[in-house]
Amino acid sequence: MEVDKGKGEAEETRKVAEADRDTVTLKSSDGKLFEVSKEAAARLSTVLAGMIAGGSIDDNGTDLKQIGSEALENVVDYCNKHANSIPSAALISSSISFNTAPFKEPEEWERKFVDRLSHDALFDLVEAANFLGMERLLDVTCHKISEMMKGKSPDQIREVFNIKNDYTKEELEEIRQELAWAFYDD
Amino acid sequence: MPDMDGWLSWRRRGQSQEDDNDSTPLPDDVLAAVFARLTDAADVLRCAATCKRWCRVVAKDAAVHARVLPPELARRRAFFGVFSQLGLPDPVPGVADAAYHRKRKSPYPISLSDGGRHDALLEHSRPVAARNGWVVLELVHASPAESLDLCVFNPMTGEIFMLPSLSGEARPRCYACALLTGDDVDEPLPTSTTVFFRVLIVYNRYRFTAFRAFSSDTSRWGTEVSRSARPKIDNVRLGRLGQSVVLGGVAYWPLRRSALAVQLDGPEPCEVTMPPWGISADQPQSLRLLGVTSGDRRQQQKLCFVDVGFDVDDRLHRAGLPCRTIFLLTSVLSTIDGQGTNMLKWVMPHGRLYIPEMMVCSSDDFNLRWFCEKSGVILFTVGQESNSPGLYALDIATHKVQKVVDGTGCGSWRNVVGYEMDAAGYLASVACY
Repeated sequence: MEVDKGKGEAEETRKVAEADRDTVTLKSSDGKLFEVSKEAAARLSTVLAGMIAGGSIDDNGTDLKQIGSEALENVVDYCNKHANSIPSAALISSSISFNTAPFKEPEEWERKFVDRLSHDALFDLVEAANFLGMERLLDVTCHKISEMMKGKSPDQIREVFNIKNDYTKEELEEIRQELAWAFYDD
Repeated sequence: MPDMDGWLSWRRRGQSQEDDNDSTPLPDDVLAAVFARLTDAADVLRCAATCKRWCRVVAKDAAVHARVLPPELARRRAFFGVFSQLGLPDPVPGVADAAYHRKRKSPYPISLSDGGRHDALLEHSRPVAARNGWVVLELVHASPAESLDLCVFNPMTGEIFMLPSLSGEARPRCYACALLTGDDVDEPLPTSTTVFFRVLIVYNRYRFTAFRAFSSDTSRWGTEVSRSARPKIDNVRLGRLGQSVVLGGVAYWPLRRSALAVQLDGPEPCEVTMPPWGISADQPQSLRLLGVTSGDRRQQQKLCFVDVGFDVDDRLHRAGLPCRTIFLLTSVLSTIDGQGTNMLKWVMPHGRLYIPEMMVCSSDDFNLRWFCEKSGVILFTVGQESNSPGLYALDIATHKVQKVVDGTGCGSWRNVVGYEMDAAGYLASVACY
C-alpha cells in the first residue's frame, strides 16, 4: 500500500515538473532533437496544443515521425521567431476552415522567413505545418506557393513544381480551346 | 449540410490510382489550400491544366474557386444542357436522361448521382424546374403517390437538398414549379450562407389556386397563400404551365393572354399585377414561351414572350413535303409612362425571326422547350415529320441555330428542362478532363 502510494506521488511530482517546464522537446523522423517554447507551440499548433494538454509530450523528445529534421528545424525556428515578434491583431483569429476563411497577409518577417527557403524545403515545411495543424504557418507557406503559380503558363508551372504532364495531346488541345481566355500566349 | 460527395468526387476516386504519377510532393489537401489562395480564376484553371491530379483537386473545390470567377465571364460562358425523360408515359418511373452540350461533337450524359446515397431515387425522378446550375427534381414513386417529394440538385457538383414531403391534404395534384437561387439575389448573402434557394409551387385547391414556397433559410415550406383576388387557373392549363422565368425576384409563367407573376423573394409568395391581355391567346402551350431580353445588367433585362408562327409553301404542301417555314415573334413587357403611374404593356418591337433551312409538315412537329435565361438561348425540338428532326439551340442575339441532339425521338420527349451551369458547375466541368 505504502509503496503504491509513494509511486503515485512520484508520478504526480514528475507531471507537475513537466508542466512547469517552459519548453517541449520534439524529435524529427531522423532522430534529431529540437527545443521549442511550450507557450508558442501550444498557441501556434493545434496538434501540439492537444498533445501538451493531453500529457503525451515526452521529455526525451516527442516523436514526430512524419517530419524530417530540416522541416522541423524550420517549424521550431518559426515558432521561436513568432514568440519574439510583436503579436499583431491579425494573428488573434479563431478561424478554423482554411478553405473559406479570409486569408491574412503574411507579415514582413514571415515573408522573409519563407523567401529564403528552397522549393523542396518550402514544400516540406507546408506539409509539416499541415500535419501539425499550424494554421498561421500554413497560411504563410500556402501564400508563398500560390505566389509561385500566379501569372504563369501551365508549362512554367510544370517546370517550377516538377510536374509530369499526363494529359494526352488531344486532351491538351481540348483544354486549350475550352479555356482560351485563361491561357497566355506562350 | 450539403452532401458534397458528388459524381465528380466519385469519378476522382475511380481514377485516383492510376494517374497519380506527377512528382510534386504536395498532397491534395495542401494543394487545395494553395489553390484557394489564388485570386484569379485564370490562375486556378492554368493549374488545373498542368496535370490530372491538380485538375481533380481544382474540381473538388469548384464551389470555392468559383468565387473568383468574374460574374460576366460566368454569365457569358454559361453552358446549357437538357434533362429529359425519354418519351416515357407518366407515371411509369423512368430513367431520367441527361445530356449537356458545349463545343464537343456530341452531347454526353451526366449521371444523376449524388455519389450513391440517393442514386436510386434520382434515377426515378422527373425534372420540373432548373435555373443557375440547379435542377428541381420530383421523385417519382412506384405506387400511386401519397406525397410530393421534391429535391434541389446540382448535377455538376452532386450537392443535393431534399425538401420536406408534402403529403395528405398538403399534396398538390398538378402544379407548376419555380426556382430562385443565390445568383438571383442582388444584395450579398451573409457569409454564413452556404447555399440559398427558394422553390415556389403553384397548384389548385377545390375553390382557388394556391402558392406555397420552400425557403432554404428556414428549411421548411411556408404557409399556403391563396390566389384569392383572381379566378382559379384551370387544372389542365396549370399542369402545362411549364417553365417559369425569374426576373427581379418574381417568377413568371405564360398564361392564356398574359403572364402569371409571383413575387418570390419576400417572406411569402405574393402575386404581382400584370397587364390582363396582350399576348396571343390561341396558341397551344408548346408554341409559346416566356423569356428575358438580353441586357448586360440584370436591371436592364425585361420579360418577353416568344411565340411561333408558320409560313406555308403551297408548292411543297401540294407535293406532301414538309412545307412550313418557322418564325418567332417576340413581345416585350414594357413600361408605358402615362397618368403618373407606370403602366405595363406587352409590346412587339421586333419583326419575325425566321429559323433558317427548317421545314415542318404541321405545327405539331415544332415544340418550344426552354428559354435559357443566362445565355439567351431558346431550345426547341423538331419532330420526325420535318426535314431535320432533333433538338436545337437558337441564340437570340446572333440568330445562330445549332443542332444539339440528332434524332427523331426528340419531338416526343417529355419533361425537358434546359440546364445552365453556375460558376461552380462550369469550373467543375472544365476541370474534369
